[in-house]
Amino acid sequence: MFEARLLQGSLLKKVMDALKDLLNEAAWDCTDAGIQLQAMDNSHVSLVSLNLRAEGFDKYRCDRNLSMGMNLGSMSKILKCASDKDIITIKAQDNADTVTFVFESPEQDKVSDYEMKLMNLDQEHLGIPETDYACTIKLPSSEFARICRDLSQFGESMVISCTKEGVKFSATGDIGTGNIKLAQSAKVDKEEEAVVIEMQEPVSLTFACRYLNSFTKATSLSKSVQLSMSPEVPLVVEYKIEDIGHVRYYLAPKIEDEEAA
Amino acid sequence: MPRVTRKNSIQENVVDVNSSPEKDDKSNIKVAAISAARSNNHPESQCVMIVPDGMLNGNNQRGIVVVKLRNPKTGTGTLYAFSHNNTKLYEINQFDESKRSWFLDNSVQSDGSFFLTTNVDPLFLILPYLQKAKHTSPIDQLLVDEDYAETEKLSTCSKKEDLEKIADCKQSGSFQAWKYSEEKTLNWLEKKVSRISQHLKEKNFNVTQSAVSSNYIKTDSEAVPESSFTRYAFGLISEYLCDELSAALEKHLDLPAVQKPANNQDVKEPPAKRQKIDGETKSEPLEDYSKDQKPFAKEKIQVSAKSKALASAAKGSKSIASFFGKK
Repeated sequence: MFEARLLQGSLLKKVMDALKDLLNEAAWDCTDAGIQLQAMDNSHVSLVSLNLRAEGFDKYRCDRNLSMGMNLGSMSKILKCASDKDIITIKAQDNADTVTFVFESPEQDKVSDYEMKLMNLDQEHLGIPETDYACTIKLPSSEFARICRDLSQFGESMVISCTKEGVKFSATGDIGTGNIKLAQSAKVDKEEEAVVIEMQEPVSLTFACRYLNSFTKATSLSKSVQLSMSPEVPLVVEYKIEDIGHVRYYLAPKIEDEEAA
Repeated sequence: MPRVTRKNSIQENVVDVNSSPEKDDKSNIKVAAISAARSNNHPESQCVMIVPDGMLNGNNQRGIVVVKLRNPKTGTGTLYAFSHNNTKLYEINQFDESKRSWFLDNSVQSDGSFFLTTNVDPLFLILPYLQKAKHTSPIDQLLVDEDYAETEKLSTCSKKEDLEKIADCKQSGSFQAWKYSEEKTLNWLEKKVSRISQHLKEKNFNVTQSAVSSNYIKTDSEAVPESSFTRYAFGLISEYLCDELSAALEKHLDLPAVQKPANNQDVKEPPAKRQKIDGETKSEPLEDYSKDQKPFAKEKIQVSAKSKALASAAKGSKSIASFFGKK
């Protein structure tokens, strides 16, 4: 028996929005520690990793580890039936082929439940090594979303280069070039509005704008976002979800040679 | 069972076979051939065998010898019977009906099957050995099989003029050596086929694909094409031939290609009867399982413009899996 009750139902809706652009289907792995999801997009260029810890739920019970393959399109349709203030409970039997979503209104006067068929997904999990990144950049998530949106007008790919002076996002295309430089915030009023750059060595990598734009669909989950980069390894874009976990996107860098050709 | 039709040429004799329980393992089983001399000591080890008349002649105690030989079609061990002086070879077919038992004198035998022995041309069994031989060699050297020692007995069954039908002979003095000849073999087989088809035709044997009641007499004598008889006869003969030879014979006979039974899928059904429609409500079932079902194609994943664009954006990037090892 698996049961997870989330007081903040809107959070699950937001998580859904953050996933459904990149993934069509994914396996939700439930253990007594919480819910994990790891999946690659169709082109296998990016990886999404979601972690929701058990403590973050109002009520969490997982007798047996189970992996629920869900069609995220269908799941998102179901979650659209929940209003933002609803309490959402996810339920499944141990060897069930369906999962049930129960939405309770805050006043408990309306309860709706939706059952969804599960899918058989044989997904391989990738082992993500602990890495000390050469650069980590923390910036307000809305700022990052804005940068990605603005620069994607110029070109398909975006160069993120991190130096001592700060971080520079740039894109080149037919209409011209765009550069956005961010320097480390001098004084910090609110922590989440600050731009914090930690750098061991300068890094410059190229990424596909469209993917970065998809990642920014998670903006509503967190006020700030952290980008981690090292030469020739995937970029990590991490949105922390308060009190419960995080969603991380990994994106393989574009290969420079092909870029020139 | 076409072989049962030849029964009238065989006089039935109920024979007691004193076979030991390990009958299948032992390749050499002597048959106590006289029906009168039934031993009641082993009522469970008796079986009923129908043998041609004269095979167990009178008080002759020699009987027939049941041996295991290599089946020319399958290449596996199969029981055959030699007549007492190794001049004739019989194949043994078991005919079984589950709901039957035999009364044998005062005993009941629960195994209701019986064995039919029918004459078979030993050349069919010699053929594979001849084909296998690389050199021209005398017949007793050809017929050597490690698994089935009795194979050598085949040499006494076949006379020289028989062997000449399937092989070329080289003779020096009394020494005869043989070399397989496919041309001769095919001619020989062709004769066999034509004789069988002739016989089938005379007996008005049903060689068409569908079953026909024997009481049913066609008003117009629709001629069964000659080739159907030939094909049927060819089928009978190929039961004694290895696949390659059977294919070669088919080519040699120039048989018309087998008409495949009409594929049900191609046959258009007459249009379904129109049902009365009162007003808007149709009483038709939504799914008609009698009709051709489309094979369950994997649900087409709708590729939205968005994901297409995403896929194109992925160009020039390495797969993420190349960075992270598989768990």
